Amino acid sequence: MVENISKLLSDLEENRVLELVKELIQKGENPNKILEAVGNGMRLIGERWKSKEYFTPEVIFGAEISHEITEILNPILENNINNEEKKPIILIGTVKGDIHDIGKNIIISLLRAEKFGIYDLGVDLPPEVFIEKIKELKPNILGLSGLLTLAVDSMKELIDKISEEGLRENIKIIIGGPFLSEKTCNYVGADAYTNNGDDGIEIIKNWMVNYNGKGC
Amino acid sequence: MAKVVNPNKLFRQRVRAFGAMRDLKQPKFTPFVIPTKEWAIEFYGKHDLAAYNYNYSLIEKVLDHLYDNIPMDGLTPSYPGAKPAPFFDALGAKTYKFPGRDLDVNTASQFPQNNIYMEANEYPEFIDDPIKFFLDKSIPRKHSNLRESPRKELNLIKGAMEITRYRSIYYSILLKIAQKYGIPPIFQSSIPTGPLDFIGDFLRTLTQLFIDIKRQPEEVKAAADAIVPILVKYGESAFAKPATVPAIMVPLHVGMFLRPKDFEEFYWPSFKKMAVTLINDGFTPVFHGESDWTPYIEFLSELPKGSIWLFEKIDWDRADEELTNLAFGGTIPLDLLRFGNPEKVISEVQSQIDKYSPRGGFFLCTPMPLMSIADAKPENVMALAKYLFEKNFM
Amino acid sequence: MFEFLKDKSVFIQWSDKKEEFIKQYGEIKEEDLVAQNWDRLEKMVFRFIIDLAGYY
Repeated sequence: MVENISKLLSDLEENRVLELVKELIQKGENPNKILEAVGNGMRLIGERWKSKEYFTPEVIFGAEISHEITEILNPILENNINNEEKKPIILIGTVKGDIHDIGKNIIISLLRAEKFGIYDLGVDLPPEVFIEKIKELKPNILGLSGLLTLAVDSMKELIDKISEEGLRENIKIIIGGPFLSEKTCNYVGADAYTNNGDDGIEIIKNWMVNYNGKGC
Repeated sequence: MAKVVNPNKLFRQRVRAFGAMRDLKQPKFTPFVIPTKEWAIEFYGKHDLAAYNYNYSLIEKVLDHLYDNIPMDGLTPSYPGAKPAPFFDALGAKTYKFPGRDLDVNTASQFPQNNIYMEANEYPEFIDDPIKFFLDKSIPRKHSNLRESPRKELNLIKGAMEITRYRSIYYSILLKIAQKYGIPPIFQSSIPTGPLDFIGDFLRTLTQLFIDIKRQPEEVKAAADAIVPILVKYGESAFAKPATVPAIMVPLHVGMFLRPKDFEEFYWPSFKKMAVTLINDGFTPVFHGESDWTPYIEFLSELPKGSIWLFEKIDWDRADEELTNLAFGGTIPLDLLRFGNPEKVISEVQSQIDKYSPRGGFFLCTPMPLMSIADAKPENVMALAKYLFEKNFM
Repeated sequence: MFEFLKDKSVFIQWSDKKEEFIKQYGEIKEEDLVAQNWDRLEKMVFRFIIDLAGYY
């Protein structure tokens, strides 16, 4: 029964999946199992996005339904979410000068399904904010987002500062934006780039294949 | 450099070239135009970006410096480098984030995508009478100084005076530049955006629109239909009579988010109605298609002849072959202008001319306007413009 | 709200009380303020409403 949640979610059957969740809760289903099924559903959505069956609106709607389910679950979820399993940490934000966040939010909603520890810093962030958070959280991956062409130089400025601070070696950096190319990626000094994000999820997962609780 | 050739003659030659390009005939030369927003201001380099949002006449020196160094075949008034910040202040508008206030003094102003001016349950009200909805609901929500208060009429008048002051300064500067350098304003007027785009950009936000499409599809379609006659009237009312060149610029940014079957159902019908009406009424729309339009080439091929497209991204060879009904530009990649050198830029652009000019409906342009100075090395743009000018006019 | 935008007489009021405004409102010419030119004025008001609802 609980597996049907993943299927209904990935089919974007909003009403049916919400009904099923409520029904399962009434029957005493473990809320963590439901959450796990939601994660699997989002993963299926990510796959359908990658195969171009789904576009941005489907991912956004999937994330919206997941959010509704978590709202239903929140009151009954026990405080046992912090299982001690070590997760790879991803720090993500839109760089200085750029206030756009649709792309960033989509990636975050899909990465949540992939058992990463995700920290969303927000938009129009000066390098200092990133540097401070990198020192504090020691992330494995840094995701930099930007819609406007001016983001390229903000990305370069930030990555240069990360190097100056001696923080570059332990961190993989991926940049995302519609105008990015291999050339801009090399210019700013990132490890990878993505235009649509669908391949970005894959790149990040590959980086983390050999994750052993330390670096990548 | 432009001054050695008679500006009146240049003006006429350029208008003719754009007209032939639009008619998919062979122009005497391939028109070249790059919309330079904040880039032009940084290229001039005398003041912070923020200053231009307050002191409107400063832009004259920027444009003079731009076209003196970079001769182009068209002015692009609908891509201004500055915005009248005092106008937005008078209305208490939260439409933009401005440099010097919300952003660094040298960061371009931006349009936040998260302000909701129509709730999901208000579609029927909007569909019933869009103008009434603007006046009663969305405009006061957007402009805090126009909400119910004894001063709202005064605030509106204050805003109207300021926007008029801005426009009269801006347009008189453009006129001077047009006369001095013989450059016709090409993307002169504009329509805010396409029908479904309007619902996303100015009422619901893109994210909410995408959710609405799933939850209340019929209302979304009806709302896009309801705005079509208004957008058409807006675009056409800028002209006393149908005008083919200059043209009406329409930026589009929602369509390419949609999978083709949703594009067909939600985007295309209202958009096509708008485009066809403008063309049939004798106007020339210039559609700036943001992001990748390759998945929608088949739809585009349905349009009647008479529109110009600036594509941010498309399979150019397929566009060349399959879109025999429209003129296009956008082939000069920013990477080339950013990382290339003058020699490389010229040779690549020349090969684009060789390849696409035989189709007639082709103009030289970057896929998007230039914002930051780093988007394109000035020496590359200058060398390219000089090369084309000498080739076309000397 | 803003019913007065649809009301042509508002421009008469402006012309009575706000000479300065008229002077600055470059697009409005004196002859627009006589009844025969309502078409042009209405067009301007219409455009201003859409500006406010759109990019402004």
